[in-house]
Amino acid sequence: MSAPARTEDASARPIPAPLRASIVLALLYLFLVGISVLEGGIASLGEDVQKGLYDSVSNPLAGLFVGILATVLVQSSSVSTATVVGLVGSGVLSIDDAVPVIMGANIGTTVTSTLAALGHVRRPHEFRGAFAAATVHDFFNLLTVVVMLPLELATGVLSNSAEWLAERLVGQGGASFESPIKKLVERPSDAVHDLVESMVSGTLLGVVLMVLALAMIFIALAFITKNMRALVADRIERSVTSLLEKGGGLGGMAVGMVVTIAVQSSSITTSVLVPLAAAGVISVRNVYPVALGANIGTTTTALLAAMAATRPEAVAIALVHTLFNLCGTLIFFPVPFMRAIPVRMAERLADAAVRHRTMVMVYVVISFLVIPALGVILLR
Amino acid sequence: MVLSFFRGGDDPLEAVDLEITTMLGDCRHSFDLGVSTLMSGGDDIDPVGVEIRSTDARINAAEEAVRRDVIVHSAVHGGSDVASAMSSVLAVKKLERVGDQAKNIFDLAAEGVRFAGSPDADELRELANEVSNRLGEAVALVSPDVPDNDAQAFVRRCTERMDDLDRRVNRLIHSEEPAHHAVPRAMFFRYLKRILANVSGAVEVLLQPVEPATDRDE
Repeated sequence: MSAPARTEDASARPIPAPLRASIVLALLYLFLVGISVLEGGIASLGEDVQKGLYDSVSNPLAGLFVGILATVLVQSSSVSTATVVGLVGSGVLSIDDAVPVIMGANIGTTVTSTLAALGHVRRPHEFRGAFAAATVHDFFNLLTVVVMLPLELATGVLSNSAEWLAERLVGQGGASFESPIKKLVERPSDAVHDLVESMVSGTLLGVVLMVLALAMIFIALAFITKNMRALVADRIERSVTSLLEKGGGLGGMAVGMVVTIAVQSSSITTSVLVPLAAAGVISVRNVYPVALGANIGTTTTALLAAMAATRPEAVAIALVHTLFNLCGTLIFFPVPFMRAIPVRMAERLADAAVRHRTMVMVYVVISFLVIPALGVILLR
Repeated sequence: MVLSFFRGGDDPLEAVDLEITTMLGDCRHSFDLGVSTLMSGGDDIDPVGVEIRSTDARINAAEEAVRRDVIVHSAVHGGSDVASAMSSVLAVKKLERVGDQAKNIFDLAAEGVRFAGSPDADELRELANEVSNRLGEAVALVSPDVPDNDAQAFVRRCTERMDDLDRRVNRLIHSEEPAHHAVPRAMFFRYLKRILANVSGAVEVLLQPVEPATDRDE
């Protein structure tokens, strides 16, 4: 019977898988070149501008809010964390100052799934599940920041551990490290630098290079996600079906991690779950481990970006991102009582959201835009 | 479950096609059991009842599974497969009703109705065989490779028989036959008609989920 035949995804299917995989590799290269250009751009900025950048996040809370706001505005923690890696890699930001920004990026990335949940706002029975599934990710990240940020500020546990690990991986801090990927991206990065330098100089050179680099990073990551999603959509579907049959737990976490690494976007992974929770085919308790896996999986972007950076500190800050999410998972997953905290908070907020649906958009705007923006303005 | 990400495989909606085929097989099994109980003269029908109920539970579970698979498919792929996703959901809903109607036929037997030995037993058996064969044909028709013409011919044959069954019910409504003769037959014909309507409807929605827009072109 031919008529109901699957309507092929016009934008995705005509490209054969090997060609699409090659496109992804090319985009990955563009992303790494973008990181290298960003480093060069930051280095070309005047000392005053560099000091201004540094000052804007020297207060840890300001750094946290910068991370949230930047991620919400670009709708991608991968872009914001890769940028932080570039800033640390160029020596403008120290690891200690970058840690809160990374934590903020982790919170900011959850806005995408929360916005996806708003699509169900007119149907209360769907909205409760969708909103709880989206905000369980918010609450986990918020709670992890509440625990880990003071601990980090008091003891430096994350940054010290990450530096220790980075030293073992790439050598001593303070020196440049010989990343083979850095060598691969050096030539096109230098070419871009020389081309822009032939037209502008001074601080403007740095600004133009930074804008170009951010555009390269943003475009590369957006198209990597789009192409990888098309490449692995059937695999994601099989994994999610299997997840629904077997429940969450460690398997769900592994699914979240693998899918996120494949599509290079935790937002894609968590947003796929929102309509499933809305339809009632997955519970918030089973969404939760997938979101934790997605959080860990998304840290690979910063690790990839660090491969193109000059200084070992870039690797250390990328490792901070991974360690932060691993620590959060260890605190809020293995013990059932602790695991229930973010889940219950999400369910209660969802109950309140169903009762006051008109306030939900206000909640999103205030939580993800107004508070971070005020924080940045008042605390910098 | 993460291994299912790395394992290669068919288009996930092919699993839905397989579920639909299995449902059709189960519907036919349930129908044949109900009819054979009605046509035979046996009294020990409890084991058949158990089998029909467990088959019906399988049909209902398959319907749930298809709906869940379609939701997952839509969440992952967006709207690109909306027509086939929608037609699968519509088809399994109709097949789930076939399972219920096969159970209804068995319920007639459970109430003590038996057609065995009656003068029209052969005719009734022939009608039941025809409906059973239609369920068998439908299994082949839900395959994606079957030409549209075959499916349209199938729907036409079902419609003709449904009209005939309607006429039989109307004749019984106005007949002078005693209730214990007319009512079970009217109900039986009605169930046969509903089964044909649902199975041909399932094939039809799989063929064409909505009226083609070209029909309304100026």
